[in-house]
Amino acid sequence: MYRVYVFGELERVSEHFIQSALPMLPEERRRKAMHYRQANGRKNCVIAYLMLKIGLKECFQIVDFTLGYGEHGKPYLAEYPDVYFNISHCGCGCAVAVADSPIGVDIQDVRPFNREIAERVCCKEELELMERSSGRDREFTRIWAMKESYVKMTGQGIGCDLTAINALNHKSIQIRDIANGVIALCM
Amino acid sequence: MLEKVIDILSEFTMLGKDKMSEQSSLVIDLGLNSLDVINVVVAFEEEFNIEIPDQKIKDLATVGDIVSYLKTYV
Repeated sequence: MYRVYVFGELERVSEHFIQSALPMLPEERRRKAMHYRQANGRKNCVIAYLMLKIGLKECFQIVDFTLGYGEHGKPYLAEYPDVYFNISHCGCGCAVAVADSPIGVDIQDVRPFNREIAERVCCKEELELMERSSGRDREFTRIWAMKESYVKMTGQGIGCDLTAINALNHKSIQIRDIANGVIALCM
Repeated sequence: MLEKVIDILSEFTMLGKDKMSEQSSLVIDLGLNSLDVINVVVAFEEEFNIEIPDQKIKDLATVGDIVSYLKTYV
């Protein structure tokens, strides 16, 4: 069982709303939110946490929880080892996934295709797909988001050989296009 | 070295150079996400003709971490 929450209307969120929502956040998350220099980072940080609260309550009836952090910084629910979640931010919004098995989510705004970056992170089959594509920017963004959702699901993060992961072979990765970006989900 | 690092980073962030310091976090202060970090790593590799191993990327959390890394390996 899983559910994904997505918010993509950051421009509609006022600073006033963010300030009034801050008391709903635990101290550590509040400090993190206020640390963001850019307004969208702050908004994503607060809204993602609120969506996590909603998701945990709707899907697992969890109201009180504490976040712990794994070896590579992946957050988890300290009191609920069988409940999983993952959070992602980008310029176009934020996404939160909650599930009863390990899950990774990535939301990413479409970026221009850059061959050097692609060769650094993609395997041969992924590069060939991009070469054939008429929309390389979106294709690259899709492959990147799929890979990131995978390394977020496993908890290893981007500090690994990303070319060893063939996102196209992972049936457990779902990808969806949104207006200015993509969302990938890996379970 | 700090000035050079800030110059390169300024191409990837909307944060002004005068707001960046060794303590600045790439994610929280500069607003970078994982893909930006990969772009930054490739830019430093090109600029300094080095290869930053994948396992080191997660250790580069602040401007100062990049400066220290470059001081050690360049």
